[in-house]
Amino acid sequence: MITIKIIDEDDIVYARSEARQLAEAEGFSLMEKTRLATAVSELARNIYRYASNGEVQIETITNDGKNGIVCRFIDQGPGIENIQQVMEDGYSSGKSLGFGLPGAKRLADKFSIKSEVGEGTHIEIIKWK
Amino acid sequence: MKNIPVLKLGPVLFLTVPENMNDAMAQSLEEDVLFQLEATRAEAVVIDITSLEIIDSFMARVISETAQTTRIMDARIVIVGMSPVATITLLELGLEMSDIETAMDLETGLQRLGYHLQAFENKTLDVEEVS
Repeated sequence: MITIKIIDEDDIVYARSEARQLAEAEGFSLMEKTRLATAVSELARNIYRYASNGEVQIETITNDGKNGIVCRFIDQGPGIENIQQVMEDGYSSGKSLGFGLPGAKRLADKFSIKSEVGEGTHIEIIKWK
Repeated sequence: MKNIPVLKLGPVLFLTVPENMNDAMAQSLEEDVLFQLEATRAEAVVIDITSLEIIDSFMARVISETAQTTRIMDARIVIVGMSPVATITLLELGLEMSDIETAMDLETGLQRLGYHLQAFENKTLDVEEVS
């Protein structure tokens, strides 16, 4: 498992290039690699922007003979009060944009989110080859 | 990190976005373009994103804002080198750059701006790095 601490902006670049390299090694198509790297970029940036720091874990998984990559985005930031609301297109609680979460969800094959106010947020995405 | 170099070729400013562009570089891109437009009185801007492997929502917003502000500064702008995968991903993210002029490559981009490559044959255009 690759673990990337998200502390500054360059860690966002690092996280997406690690995801991309692993996808490359796993034989993902260019399209699927790009979808994964873009989702990782969005979600790693959310950690940096909203929680200021956290970590990204990237590893390969196998299920029923299918190979994939799972990425977890873990922070102890402020948490999300209304998950349903942030999953709507166009909603943003920060000064940025509202596309982060629903966009990343569309790019991934599986997306799950757990968040507690004051505790932090844990997002997991899976991309199958 | 170092800013993205701005090259001036006659009336056109050129920028090539690096593969590993971080948020700070992206953010300074817009300012650099506007200040160089003012300083050089260039008529047009070409931003080359060929080496950008992904475009996420932040980069898309920076490019989009740069295009808007460049037009407000009375200059034209064209984005060249959009890759098919970046384009598809951008739409899936829920973003579109429909208000931005794009071209497949530099040559087409320059033609889009009304500059034709014959202009290079008389060798009067010198490339200079302005930032």
